[in-house]
Amino acid sequence: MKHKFLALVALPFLLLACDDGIPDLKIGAKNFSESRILAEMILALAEEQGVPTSGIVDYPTANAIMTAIKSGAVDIYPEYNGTGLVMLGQNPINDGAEATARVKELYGPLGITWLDGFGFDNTYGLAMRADRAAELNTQTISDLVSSAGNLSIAVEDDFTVRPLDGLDPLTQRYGMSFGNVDVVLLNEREQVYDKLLNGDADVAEVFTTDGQLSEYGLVLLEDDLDFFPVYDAIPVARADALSRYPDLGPAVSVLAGKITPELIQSLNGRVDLEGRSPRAVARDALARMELIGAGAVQTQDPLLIATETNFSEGPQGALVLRAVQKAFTGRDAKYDLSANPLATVGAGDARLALVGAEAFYYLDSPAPTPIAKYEAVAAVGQSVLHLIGDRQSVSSLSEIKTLAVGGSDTSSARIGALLIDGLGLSAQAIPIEGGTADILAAVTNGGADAALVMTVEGDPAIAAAMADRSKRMFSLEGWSDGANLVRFPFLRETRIAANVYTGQLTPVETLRTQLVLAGPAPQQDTIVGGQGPAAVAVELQPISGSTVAMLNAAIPGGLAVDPALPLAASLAPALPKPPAPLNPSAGTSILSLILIGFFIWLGWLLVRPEYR
Amino acid sequence: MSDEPKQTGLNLNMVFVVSMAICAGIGIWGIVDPDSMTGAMLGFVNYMLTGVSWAWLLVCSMFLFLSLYLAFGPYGGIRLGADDDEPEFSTVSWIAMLFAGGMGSGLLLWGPAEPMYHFVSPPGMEGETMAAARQALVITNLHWGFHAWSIYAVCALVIAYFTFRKGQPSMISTPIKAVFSGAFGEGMGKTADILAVLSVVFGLAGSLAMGTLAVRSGTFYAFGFEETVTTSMMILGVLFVCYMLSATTGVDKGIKILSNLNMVIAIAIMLMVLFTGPTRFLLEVFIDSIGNYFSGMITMSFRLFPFEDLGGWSAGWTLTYLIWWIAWGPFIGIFVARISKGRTIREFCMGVIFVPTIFSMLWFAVFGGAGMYIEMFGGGGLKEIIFEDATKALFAFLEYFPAPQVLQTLGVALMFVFLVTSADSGTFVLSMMTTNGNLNPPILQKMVWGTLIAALTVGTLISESVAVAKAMAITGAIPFTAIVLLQLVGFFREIRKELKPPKPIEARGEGIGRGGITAQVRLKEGQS
Repeated sequence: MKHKFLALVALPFLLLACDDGIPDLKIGAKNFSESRILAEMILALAEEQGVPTSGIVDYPTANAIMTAIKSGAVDIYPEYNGTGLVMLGQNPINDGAEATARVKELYGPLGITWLDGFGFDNTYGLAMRADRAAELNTQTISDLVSSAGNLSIAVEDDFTVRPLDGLDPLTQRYGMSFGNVDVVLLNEREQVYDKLLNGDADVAEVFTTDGQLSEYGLVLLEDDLDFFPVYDAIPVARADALSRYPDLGPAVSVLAGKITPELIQSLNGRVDLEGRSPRAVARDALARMELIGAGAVQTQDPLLIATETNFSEGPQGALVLRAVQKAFTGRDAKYDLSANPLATVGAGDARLALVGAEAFYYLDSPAPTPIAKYEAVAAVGQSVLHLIGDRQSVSSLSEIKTLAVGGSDTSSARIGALLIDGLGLSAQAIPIEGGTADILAAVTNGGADAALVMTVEGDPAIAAAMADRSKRMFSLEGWSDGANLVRFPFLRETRIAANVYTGQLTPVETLRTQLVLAGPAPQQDTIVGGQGPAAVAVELQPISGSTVAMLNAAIPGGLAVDPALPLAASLAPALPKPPAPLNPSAGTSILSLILIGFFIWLGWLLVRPEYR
Repeated sequence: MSDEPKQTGLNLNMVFVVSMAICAGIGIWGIVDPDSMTGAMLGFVNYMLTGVSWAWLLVCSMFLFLSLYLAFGPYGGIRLGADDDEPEFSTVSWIAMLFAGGMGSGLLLWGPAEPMYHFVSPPGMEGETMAAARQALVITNLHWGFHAWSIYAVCALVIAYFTFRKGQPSMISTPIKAVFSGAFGEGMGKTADILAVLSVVFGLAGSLAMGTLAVRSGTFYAFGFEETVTTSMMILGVLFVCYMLSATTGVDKGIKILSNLNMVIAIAIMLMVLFTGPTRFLLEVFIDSIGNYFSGMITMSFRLFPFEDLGGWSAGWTLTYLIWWIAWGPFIGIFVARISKGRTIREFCMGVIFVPTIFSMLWFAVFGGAGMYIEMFGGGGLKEIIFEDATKALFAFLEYFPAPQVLQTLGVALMFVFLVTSADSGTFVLSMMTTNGNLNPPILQKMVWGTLIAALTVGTLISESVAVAKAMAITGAIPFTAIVLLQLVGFFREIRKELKPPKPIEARGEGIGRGGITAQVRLKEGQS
């Protein structure tokens, strides 16, 4: 009896002890793809060893995460030895092994252990577009010094505040000063490449492991003064965490030396360029290295975006994936190629569709009528009609006899039919399965007089086809003469400026339609909801307002949705209401009157005396 | 247990024949031209819900306050049965049976989903705030709590009182005949009986069709079975065998065993989520929601949105739920009455309203709370899955917990058992209703009704249209509300006679005390 009592008294303390004993492992990451991929790898390996984790927390700067690991808010995260040195105010060291030995020595007394390196180093670098570098005759950073005052540099914000290896120390070391400094957030770092490519910036601060460098053929300037130290990627952990989870150290060390510079560059590319989620990329890579079972590669179903080949492969494809991934927390977004993307969304097989504005209309009748079941949640860009013919064989629109368009129900096939109808052309549409390049190939090999492609202006596939000057681009004269602008409100007039493509010397008058992300619209057919004790919700719910807002924030450009399209409720402006009539529904009034009469009758039935 | 001769064959009385004929008619209409049937029925429901939303809320809230009055007022001590009757079932089995009958698979399905919906888009306030989270559980409790169970309680109490206290047949028409006398009363009674049979048949067939679809999605997400008509037919086949076995073996065998099983599974899932999830948070949510729900009770019970112009929200959520509970009212009413013999009115109200409501509140605090915890503190990602597909979201939600396979299997099992327990009590009740209130109806009658419901469900499932199922399930609720109100009038006219009349004051001059009249009436009744 006494023992039982003692046991009862001891119970709360035992519980307390077991609760305090195993707090979950806290993994940190810096706010960019490479750090996230490495953190996801640590997470997957820790899970494989049965170490309880509480997921990954992103930190905005190196300073923040360093503070967090010192205070114990983070147990383990991937860091670079060079960063480790400069964070303690040490001079950078250019020898990787020496730097690693130094950080181990310096951080040991702080209770922080540097484990074995991942096997690659990632340092800062300055990159330029190849043509711009050739123009300025620049190969090294020193070559920039003379012209820096006229140049614009794009950097992320962490780089601007780093005390020893940041922007200010760099410019001081080289004795230069950039004319303009364009700062983006660390977690939107990929924007420096956009700025570099579209010419807003001449120079960009990049990571040498970025997938974009090789993808875009950029020139990495040589650091001729050896300013940037070596940054070997190394997992760094709190010593107490390593002793608390004895399995953690060995679990992470299986990665030591396994990640080559080529591998990390391709993994970064898959996240930054293809828009895959860091989680999926990391687990996939580990499974390939046979470090985790294939079963641990998340089978969680991805968020599907129905679209056609043309749009998924186009320049905006990865951008949309990235934005969707940001807005739908924790989901891996993927394209689902579909002949009729909106119908795929309507059937519940995909959550979003990436379509041209014309997909919102039934185009069979002379005056297209809108399809009610879908709404536009975000505008992605403009899809411009490119009508391209062989320079030799056709010289005007009316000479086109055969017109290559995309497969049935693609944006290009549907607009091709409208074009033939709207301009009264005698051309015959020839559907061709495949992407932009396949359709253009029909013109090259003589399968068609001209090709109609719907894509963003400056699409590299078009630029490649135009490069040999064998093709011409047609202006759509006479589109606005008839009632076309009224009949097809989703097709708007636009102009491709001269010299966007090689050999296109004059501006081209053409049409554009907005490229939008579409989701299901709220269903209006019945007011009775889909809930109930035995009810099953089958109605597709629209994308929630907050997600729509995040999606729009994540898509750069801030383009508003074309007013011809049905808008998501959260994007639609609140309309002023006309004054309501005093009695909006006579039927309701009569029904209410009958009901009140019924209630009075019931009352009378209740109080009336017994009749016998 | 009852003195009436045991019936064995089919009872071909008027209620049975007429309602069979109408069922066949509507069934054929639904199969031949589902669109026009759905359009007509849902159009009618839409008009009633939006046009006179005030009346629905008023009537349902009145049911709640009436049952409070009955429990704690002067009638609380009256026993449903002779004064010395003992309850037929143990309290635990009794509550398990009424809970299993009255709730459907929706409880599981909407557990994480509904609070999330209200958290993200609450009526008349900004979503995804702390206030919205708190309000979300209050709204969910409003929909699944006291109102739901007091509708059942009222429907059941009027029947139970006449059946066991007055010894009259257990029929929908019995209380109504207490209001009207003569041929008019007979006519009203028959009409009410037939309407009730129709709303049970279609309510049950519609609910079964939707439930089968829910189980089908469940098997898809848990085990990867294809979502085809064949799968639905297989599920319905198993379901049919189960509920026929359960219903034909009677209340004290099949129905009781399955209901207890149902409760065990439900509690097991809930405890697993509670104790493997954020336990402290969930219990805090539960305690917090109790206070908010009770303090908001009066406001919530009468809350419409005339100034915000949110009539659509009220109709789509609150009134949709209320209409569902009323739609299930006729069969849950008779079924709960059937199992409640020998309990006092106070005991009855506590058992039928209070205990299930507290359980529902805990249920939603655990499931809804865990969902919101994941969304607010656990990295998020659940919200959009819920908006995409609530069934998928339930299984995605269970993935967050240890041993998801066990939870998911239990989840599918629970959805299935919920269906069986609703279907068997429904079949049992239909047979009672068409055998003039026989408390243990003949097996043949149960087979006929069970088969008819299965046939209607097959038709609905082949059409693959949830709208048809929904239209069938809830349309009957609207005329049935009028019947319940008439039943209540009959009930109060009778029960007020139970109060001991005040001692007659000595007659002085022409004045005659009230008690005198009552006594005379009693005397007359005894003679007639």
